[in-house]
Amino acid sequence: MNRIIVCDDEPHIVEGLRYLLRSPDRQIVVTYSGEEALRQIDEKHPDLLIVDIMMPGMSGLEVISTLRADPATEKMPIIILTAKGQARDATMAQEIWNAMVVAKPFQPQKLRQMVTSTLEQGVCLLPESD
Amino acid sequence: MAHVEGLPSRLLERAVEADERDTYAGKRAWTRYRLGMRVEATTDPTRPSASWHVSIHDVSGGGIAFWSKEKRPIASAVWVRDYIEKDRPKWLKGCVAHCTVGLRGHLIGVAFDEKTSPDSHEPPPSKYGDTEEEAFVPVAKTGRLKTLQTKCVYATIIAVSASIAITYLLSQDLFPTLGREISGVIAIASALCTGALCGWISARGEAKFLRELHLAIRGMASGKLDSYNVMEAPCAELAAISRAFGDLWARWMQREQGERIQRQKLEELAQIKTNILSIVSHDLRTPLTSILMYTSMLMEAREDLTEAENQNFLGIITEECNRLARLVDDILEVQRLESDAVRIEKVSCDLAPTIESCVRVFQPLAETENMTLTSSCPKSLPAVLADADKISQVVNNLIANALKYTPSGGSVYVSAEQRGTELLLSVTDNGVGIPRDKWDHIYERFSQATDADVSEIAGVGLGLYIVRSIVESHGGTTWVDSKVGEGSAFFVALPLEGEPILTPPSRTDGVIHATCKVVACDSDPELAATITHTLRVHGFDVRTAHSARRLLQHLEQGDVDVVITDILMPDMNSTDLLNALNSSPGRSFRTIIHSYEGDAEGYGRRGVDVFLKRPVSRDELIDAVNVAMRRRSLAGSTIVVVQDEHVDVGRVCRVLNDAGHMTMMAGDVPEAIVLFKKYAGDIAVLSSEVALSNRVDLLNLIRNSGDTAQLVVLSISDRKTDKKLQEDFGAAVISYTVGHEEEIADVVRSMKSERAEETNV
Repeated sequence: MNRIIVCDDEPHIVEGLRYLLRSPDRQIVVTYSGEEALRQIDEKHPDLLIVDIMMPGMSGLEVISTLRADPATEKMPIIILTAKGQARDATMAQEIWNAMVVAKPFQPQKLRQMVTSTLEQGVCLLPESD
Repeated sequence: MAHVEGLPSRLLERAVEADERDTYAGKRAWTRYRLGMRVEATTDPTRPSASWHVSIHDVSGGGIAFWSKEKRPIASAVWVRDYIEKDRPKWLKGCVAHCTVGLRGHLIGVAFDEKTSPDSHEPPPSKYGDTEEEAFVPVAKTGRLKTLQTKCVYATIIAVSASIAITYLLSQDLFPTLGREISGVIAIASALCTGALCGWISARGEAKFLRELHLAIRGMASGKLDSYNVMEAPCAELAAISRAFGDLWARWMQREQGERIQRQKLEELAQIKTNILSIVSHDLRTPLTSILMYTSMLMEAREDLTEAENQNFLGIITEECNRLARLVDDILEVQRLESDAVRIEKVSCDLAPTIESCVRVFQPLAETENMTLTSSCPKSLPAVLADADKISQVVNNLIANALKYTPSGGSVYVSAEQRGTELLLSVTDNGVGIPRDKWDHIYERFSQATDADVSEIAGVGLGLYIVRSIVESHGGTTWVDSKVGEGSAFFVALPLEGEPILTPPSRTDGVIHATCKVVACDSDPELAATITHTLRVHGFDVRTAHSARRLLQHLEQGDVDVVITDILMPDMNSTDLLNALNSSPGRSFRTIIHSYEGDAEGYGRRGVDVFLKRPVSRDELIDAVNVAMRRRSLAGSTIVVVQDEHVDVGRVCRVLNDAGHMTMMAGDVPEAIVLFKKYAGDIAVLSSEVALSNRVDLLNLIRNSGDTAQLVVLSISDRKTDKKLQEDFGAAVISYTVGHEEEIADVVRSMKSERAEETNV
């Protein structure tokens, strides 16, 4: 059973992701703020985190930096969703945080593939270039 | 500025005498004044205390303009005197040609002569100076200087005569012991020496002048020549070069400043563009993401989705599409409001029907959301000058917002009533509420957001910014009062018809003139809105805060000139707030406290520049900000005054504050050392008693400050020890009596200028 935590402040996106990624062998936990996500990660030890960057309160990057500073979660696969969509930010985030960056709006099928392959391999994979 | 065509004759006469010619702004007028020159102005030349020092901001057509703290009525008399002739400064009568309010106070244009001459290029015949009072004493400046040629001729004559004299003496066989050849050699040698000496002496001044000129030109080339005093020239030609260079420098400065402002403006625009792109892209991408995701799921027609879920998805898609459409509308609306293309047509109107119809429009929406939307509005309201369409947009935006942020089952209440000279509209809800720190934020357009704010503002939308823009263009104010979890109340106050309408300068202008940046902070949202509006109307760039925390956030972002705040804030006590203001990193702003509590002296001791006791008038408020601004531009010293029973410390602080310094009070010398360290003090003021009993501490103080601290000792009784203090500490000793504190400011000023000279050397 794979466990995914989804974190975004936009309820429609969170709900959509839940439908998009749902599968019998997955448990999807939805959270609407960075703080909530950290609490759930602590409790549920997920296999993958999908997190938005721009959120009120604790931002996605703060969540990630907290996770990477903790030995228990430093290798946890993370997919960053960002509406900022600046290429420089994306490559830098990939290098620094060892996480995959997906710019909003994304192709739903591509995200699904990415999630599937990440869960199979258990590590972050750089997305295939188009 | 209102130019006075032609040339003021008296001025002209003086200028021709002094061979002063100004070429500012392409004009070829004669004047003795230069940009930046310090002159003294007065409204009554018989009263020495009525005068004040100003520096010339503009010179044109022979008139001058300067910034002044005081407003002067147009056509009133103003006397100006300069110190070009040091011994005989003379008041010159002029009349105020214009007086406009600006960032630096009132810009007063003075014309010196109402009589104009049609031909402004030629000096008119001198016909002034008939009466005793108007008689002008010319200074024959040109007559005193020899020309270079004359000097060379003199030097040559002296050298040649000296050689002839020596040769003659030698040829007279006065020294028979010397041989004829040796005499000849001596004659030639001495002739050469005399010649060289004469040449050296006569060219010494010129060489020095040229070296100085070289440095000045170098300075100008590297863009660092911020001030220029006309150099003393040894001969007439160089004096002319010196004056010409002065003109060149003034013109260069003018252009340089213009360019600096232009650059700043471009940088700001670039920043705004980046912010807009960043936020607009975020706000567009978020709904697009949802739409793409849900449509793709619907297209897949997955079997595990029920019909209800499919319907739900379609609902979400519609909602997100509407959100996109609204955003695009808002962006276009902002664009329209900010361009001058759309002028608001104000007519006298009764807003009661407008408000009622807005409420009616939203009624169905409120019902579907199971909310109560009620209104209390009299059948007719007193007339306001307004554009009813725009006001209805304001009310619509406010009601839409209230419905959006209120959970199902809540209630929204709209009211309108006359209050004093204003019409007060309010939209109240019992929704989620807005934290105090965000009260100012929600009204901001995202382009005004600094980078730090961007993430917080995203998604807020432009609705409230549009509200504020419309209300401000009607001369009104708008604010929010809210409590998290209990609800919010949005207010709009519009001036009734017949009341003066004060609208701030348009935003596009704002970017150019926004050189004075103010943060206005008050826990009362209405008062904060009023202060903000008042200052905006006068051309200041104002940000608002409603909590000490938010105020400090603004300060952290830097770029603040003046802070005006209440001392009683809900989230910080007054002592902590003052300390936080004083220790704000890179502190360069000036502080105005606007409160019911306290007294000017007490605050003055704690680094506050102006204390405004409530309630204050508009004028008082503007004056206070201008004073604070002036102090900031004077860049005074940081002075610590040590308390002593023989000294009226409060008065000392006030006098020094007025002279543009930052003053702080210390209980004793050790405390002064702490303050010196903390605020990088320049000068310590203390009584001779304190100085004598704390010699060791004083040495520490000076040493701790890297030997740059200076002492001003207030001698209470004449004693020999005072001299010793002077010698040991390099202190300036003044004999002090209560009530004569002004002298201290003079001493401090001279210390500062000496220091500046030292640094230059």
